[in-house]
Amino acid sequence: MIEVKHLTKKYGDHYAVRDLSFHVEEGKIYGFLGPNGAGKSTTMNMITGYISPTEGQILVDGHDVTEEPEEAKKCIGYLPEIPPLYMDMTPMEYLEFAADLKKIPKKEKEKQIMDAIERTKIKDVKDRLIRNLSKGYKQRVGFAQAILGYPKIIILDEPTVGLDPKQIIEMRELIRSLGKQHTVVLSSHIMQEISAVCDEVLIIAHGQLVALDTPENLSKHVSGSSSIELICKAEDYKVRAALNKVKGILKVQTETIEEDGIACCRAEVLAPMDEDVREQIFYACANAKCPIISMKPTITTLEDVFLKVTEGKTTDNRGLRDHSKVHVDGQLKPRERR
Amino acid sequence: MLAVYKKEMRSYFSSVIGYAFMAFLLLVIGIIFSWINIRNKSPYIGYALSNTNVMVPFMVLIPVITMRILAEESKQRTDQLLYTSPVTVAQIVIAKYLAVASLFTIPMLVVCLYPTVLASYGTVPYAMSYSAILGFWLLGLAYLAIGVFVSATTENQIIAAVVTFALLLLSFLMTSINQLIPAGKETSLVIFIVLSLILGAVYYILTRHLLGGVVCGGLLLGATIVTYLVKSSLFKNGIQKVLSSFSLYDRMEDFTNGILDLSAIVYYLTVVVFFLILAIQVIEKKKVS
Repeated sequence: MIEVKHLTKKYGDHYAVRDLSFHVEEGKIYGFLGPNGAGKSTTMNMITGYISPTEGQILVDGHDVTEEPEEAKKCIGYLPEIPPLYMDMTPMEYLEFAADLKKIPKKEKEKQIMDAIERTKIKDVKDRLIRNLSKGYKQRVGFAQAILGYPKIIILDEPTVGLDPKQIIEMRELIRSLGKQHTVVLSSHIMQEISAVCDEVLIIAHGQLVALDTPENLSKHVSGSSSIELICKAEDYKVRAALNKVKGILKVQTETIEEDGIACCRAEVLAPMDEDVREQIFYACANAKCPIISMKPTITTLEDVFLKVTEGKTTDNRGLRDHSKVHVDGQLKPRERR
Repeated sequence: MLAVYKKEMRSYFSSVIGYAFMAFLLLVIGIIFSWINIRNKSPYIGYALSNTNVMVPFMVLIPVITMRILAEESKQRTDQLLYTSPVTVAQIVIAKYLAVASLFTIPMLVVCLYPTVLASYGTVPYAMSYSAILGFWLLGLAYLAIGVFVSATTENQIIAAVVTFALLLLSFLMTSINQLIPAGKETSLVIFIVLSLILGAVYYILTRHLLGGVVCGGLLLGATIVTYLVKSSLFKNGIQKVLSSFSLYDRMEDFTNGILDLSAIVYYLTVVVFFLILAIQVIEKKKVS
């Protein structure tokens, strides 16, 4: 659906996006994840043809965005970061204008506008001035504009910013329902949102692709092991000695903490992904007379993944660029083959 | 394209701005018309239209109506809707220009009735009157194109208005400025040399391309000197000739005197096309940078 090849955008000497390549398949929901200033909006603006890339090529449904802009733009519905609304119009007038811009035939216009209004639930406010609407409604009017005309691809730049929790849930449901008929690309820096909604995640940092995979795979890949947090009522050298006897443990880290006035030992144990070592840990500690107070597996969340793959990028750009290449190579290629 | 035109027209008429523009223009023309044509019993409406008391308010009104035309779109980020829709930048700019030109045409149609009002007081030279109105209309169209161009260059409406007014005023005062410059060949030569160097520097500043700037400035400088050596008579009043081509107001004189000069019509239309193309280029450039 969208093919991005070696995309680069330079502002003066600063690279906003650097040699970014990825492929978006039809009928899936893609999430762009990245810290602020990572180049998410810039990439989206380039895909939609709002700004031109310095280098590289973007194909939207087979049409080159710079060479056949009109054909490419017809396939896309876009909701930018700040909804592009005319404050002196009502949502109804605004959507009529958007429908004319998108060259929707007169016959279908009315029907499609009403459908967009219904799906985004803005019927109550459709004849009020946009200026007087709340932020959530403004966002939804912008959203209605993006889905108007049933475009093949819907691009949403931070669609849930400024919405209240209830609206966020509604918005997510809406996006998920859109994913059944359309290809959706959305950006966010909120991890839960991406893992809740998206089929595929693209992590971008400093204008470069760091990872592309499903949210579940990403969590697995990055850690490669499961970790267990353990608190024992014993000195930490004892705990360490006991744990070192357990087979299959990759790494142990211990520290002394105080719990209810008693010195305890907090240990972090790394074990291979496919092995459950909790039982062995229990017996090992019991034998060594180190009573376990608590033991819990720490789950790698998308947040950890995100921090892990984007961390340090600010301080050492070059070193981590190589690191990112490894990730991209390791995870992109099998996908391309698929 | 029609969508943008309709939207612009609606925004003029759904707010006070469109009515205010038309009313104020008609008020100014009306006052001067009643003073010159009715009170002082002149049958020539051209005298009223080309009067400084009409021109100066007119040059204030133009920026007021054009300042927001593109600047506000980029300020409010609504340009993201326009430029990501399957419509070209050229179509958007032209549609917007046509809308503001239509708005300006409405009061001009009302002014077309004025000569018939005069007819009840005596004989009116109709052909001359309507050629004057045509001249004023063309001048307005050219002014509007300049305003659209300036609005494309900035996000700030105030800057757009002030710069547009400054350009229009400069063009209006060009005749007076010309009279201040000595007519000798040498003066022209010196000014052209300085201008060549300035243009070279501007080229360098805009593109950061040193060689290009040097070549650009050098070529202009060389051309100036060669022309001076080959045919120095061209330089007599040379700078005046160049400057007067920027005076839009001067071209109106023929229309006021009842002469339908084709070259003047072409001149105004060229100004319109030139500034609209510039406006389109400015927006396309913004996409790239």
